[in-house]
Amino acid sequence: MRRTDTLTRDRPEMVGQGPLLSVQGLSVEFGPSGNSVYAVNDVSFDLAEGESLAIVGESGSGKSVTVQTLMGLIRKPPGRVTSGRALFRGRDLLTIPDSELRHIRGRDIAMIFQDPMSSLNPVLTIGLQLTEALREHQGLSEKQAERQALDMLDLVGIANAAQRMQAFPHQFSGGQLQRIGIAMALVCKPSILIADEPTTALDVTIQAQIVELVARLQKELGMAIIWISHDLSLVAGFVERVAVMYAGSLVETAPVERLFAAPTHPYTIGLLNSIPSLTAANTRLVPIKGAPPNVMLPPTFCAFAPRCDHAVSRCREAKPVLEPVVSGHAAACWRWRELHGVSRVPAAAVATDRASKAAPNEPLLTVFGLKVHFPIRRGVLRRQVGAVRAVDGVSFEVLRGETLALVGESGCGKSTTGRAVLGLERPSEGEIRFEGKDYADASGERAKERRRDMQMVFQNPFGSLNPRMTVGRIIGEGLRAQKIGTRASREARVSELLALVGLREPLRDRYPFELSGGQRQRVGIARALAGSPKFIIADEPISALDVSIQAQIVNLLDDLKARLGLTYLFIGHDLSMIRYLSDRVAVMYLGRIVETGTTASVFGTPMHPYTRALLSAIPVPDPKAGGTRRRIVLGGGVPDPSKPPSGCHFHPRCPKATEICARVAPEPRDFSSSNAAQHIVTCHHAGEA
Amino acid sequence: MTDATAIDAGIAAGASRGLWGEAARRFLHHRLATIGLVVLAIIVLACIFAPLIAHYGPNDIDLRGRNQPPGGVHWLGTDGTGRDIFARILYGGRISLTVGFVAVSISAAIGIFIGAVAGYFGGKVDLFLMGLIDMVLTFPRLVIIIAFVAVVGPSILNTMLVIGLLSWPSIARLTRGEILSLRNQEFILAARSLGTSPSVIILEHILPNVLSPILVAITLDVATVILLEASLSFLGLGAQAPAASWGNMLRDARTLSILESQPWMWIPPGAMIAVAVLSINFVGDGLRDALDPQHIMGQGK
Repeated sequence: MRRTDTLTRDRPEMVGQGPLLSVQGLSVEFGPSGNSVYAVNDVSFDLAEGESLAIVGESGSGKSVTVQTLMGLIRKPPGRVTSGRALFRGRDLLTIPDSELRHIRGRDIAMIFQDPMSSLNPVLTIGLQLTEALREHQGLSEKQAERQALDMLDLVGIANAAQRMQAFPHQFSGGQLQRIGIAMALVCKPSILIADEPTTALDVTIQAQIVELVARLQKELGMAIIWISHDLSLVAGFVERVAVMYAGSLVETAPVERLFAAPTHPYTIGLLNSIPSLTAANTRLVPIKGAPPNVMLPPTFCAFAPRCDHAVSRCREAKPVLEPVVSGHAAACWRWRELHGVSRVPAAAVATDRASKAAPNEPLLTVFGLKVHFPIRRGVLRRQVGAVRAVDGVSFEVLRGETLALVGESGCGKSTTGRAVLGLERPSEGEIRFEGKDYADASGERAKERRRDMQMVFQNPFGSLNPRMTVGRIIGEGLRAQKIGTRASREARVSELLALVGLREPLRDRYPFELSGGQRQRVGIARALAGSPKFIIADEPISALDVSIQAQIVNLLDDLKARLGLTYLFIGHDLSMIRYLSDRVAVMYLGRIVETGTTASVFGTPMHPYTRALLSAIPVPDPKAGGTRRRIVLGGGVPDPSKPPSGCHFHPRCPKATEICARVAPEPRDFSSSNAAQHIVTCHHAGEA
Repeated sequence: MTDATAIDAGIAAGASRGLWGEAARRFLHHRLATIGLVVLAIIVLACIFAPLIAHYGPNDIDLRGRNQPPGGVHWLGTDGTGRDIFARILYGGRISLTVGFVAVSISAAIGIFIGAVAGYFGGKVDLFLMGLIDMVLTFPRLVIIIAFVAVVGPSILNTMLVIGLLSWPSIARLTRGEILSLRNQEFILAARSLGTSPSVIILEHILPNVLSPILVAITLDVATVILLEASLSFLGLGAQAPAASWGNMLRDARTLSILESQPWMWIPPGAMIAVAVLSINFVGDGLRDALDPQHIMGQGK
């Protein structure tokens, strides 16, 4: 307790009169005038002492540029602040000299970044980096600084802090590094902490740890927070106020409960509709139509108008400003008064009922005992000294016509499993049966047949298309490679595929760099469908896309499945999306499947401790649920797959682990209540009270 | 609706310039590169059409007009044997530029081949070829060239061959690195999963994507080789009298009295070397910016 006292020491200037930070009419442009990118347009907001504000927006919405401008971190040129003030305790951050700003930065306003690795200096020990700030800003002696740094590391939950002070950044995991990044930002007890997507690069369970940590520290230290995020659900649980940005402008700002209960701007409503709700399953997602905005046009109209269902001519002629809806809630929309009461989910009528479909039960794909080990070689002679057990004995079935989701954190082997099924990785062991054909070591004719049976949609819409091929050539590549049809019939098929995935014919001659992320992903899907496969492996097909685009792609995959009778293996880590789109789920941890069952049973009654932790870490798009829900926060990170723990791979992080877990790997057991569908759990303690 | 389409223009409605069109646009935005390209084009054209431009042959001797300063008859003056400097600059440029382009073509062909083999096949092949590259890189290039020319005799052909045979390792190394980083790109995986054959993968997916950085490196190499040829000719190991090259024109002008009192004999060839090398370097820089894959591969943060 004593520690907390010293940390929340009184700040004489803290006695509240007016906001701590007041941003007024901030505009930032990049590039030469006349040809500039309008990154931030007339943004104003206030931040009170101790308040937590989230700025939410998609990529390119200007949320990061806004805070970087406040911190003096944008490069000028090409960046230019064209108007506005940013008053911090009455002083304008945009006009004070660099030397003073440097002083404020770090001492009064601190920042944590998306990539913890690149924000720490790799050649200095973390102890040195932590004490440096203290000695510079607060003039402490080496001893005092060290003690304070130790306290701070303790506070952010770095075990064994005294020893770890001597370690270098690469000796920590991503989650630990982010904790150190936070410690570093907080050593001087700033009055504002700016967090720029600090959990985006982290796994779900680690993300939960960091959010929890920041929320706790905010209370203990009484500082204000600006949390930048693209994820409305994530911030719902712990901030007080949300500001939504679109194309460089603030479109809505409101207290968090109010924003979720009564969103007013069509964009906010659209965003909320594109997130699957955890309570109401089976309703179709309602995506925002169109593509992200073009910020090359001067902001003289409502930037959302081209994608808005309610836009009228006025929206395209003049730009709306923030108008108060009720006290504390403002929206920038010409028509908010008329639109009041437009329901949050206007398209409930198009709900698709998954449960009513004829239950499929014939296995299309059976994977049994699949292992993929990558040799680790060392020395001049390249001797094998070990193996990364990426996939270590995985068995599952995919039934005809269903979507099986393979879920897990990064490094659990889910992508490798998908690639091995397709033949992009050679299995070290195990069976892969597709309609009775063994594809495990397929070569020659068998391999060709496999390619016609199954195809893959890749994760990265930027990296998965050859930048030097036109869209038409990319889509037709499989047809050419497998020598299907004549040149003319292939051309016709490409047109058909373009229409199928909702792309216009003229795009055929474009190059990938001319397309948006969502359009590229559609091209990737068309390419996979070219040879009319029965089975599609989708390797995180939406995780690199903006929220409003994700729903478009998910709906497209859904429609294609129904129209073409496809079967999907969907690999992903976004659990709320997976709950929405899958029929059955298999949860993977460190190369093994720990739980398999129908989506309803796995999400409804998760039995493996890892599944439970994973589910409890899902951000809920509901500020009220955030507080009441019990979170299971796992300690530590995913172990090194070349040295997996003995027995059950999960035991070092498992809250229920006993002595047997460390010795014996558990066998899969079926816990289903009916015979219709299995619910297989691989845990010694599953089913215990 | 007009507004909606205007907003959509960036992505959908604008005329497609294609990949090379886009690169050309960026290149032309680079002012120094455009100037470099124009200057280089003028030099190359002037050298090609030398007989039409110069009133004299490179080896025509005007015995009555030796050591003439620049004037109406001989635009850039004459040298000690009465040869027209302007004509010799143009004809000499033919040799200097030819050596530059041919030698670099030889080294690029070798370098791309070796680099591609090492990068694509990896493993022991890679280990061996990388060893070879490191070995060649340790040779002091100028000393080897001098020794080689001393043995087989100085000539333009020998100069081109020996420079070409010794300059490939940097290009090989670059090619290998580019291919290594491309091999794990998702679009290569996608091509494999579609059943595209390895030869098509190399030709359609890998080579077009590694070409642009290599093109930049090759361009910059041309400038280096022109300088190297000039040094060799200056040492008397390149183009042999009476043929002119910018290097051996400098050699002819290396006495103190000429340096002091007849600057028209050494300033023009020196300036030509400087201008040509500078233009090529500008063009190379422009190409680097225009072909930068970052612009093409996307806006990843």
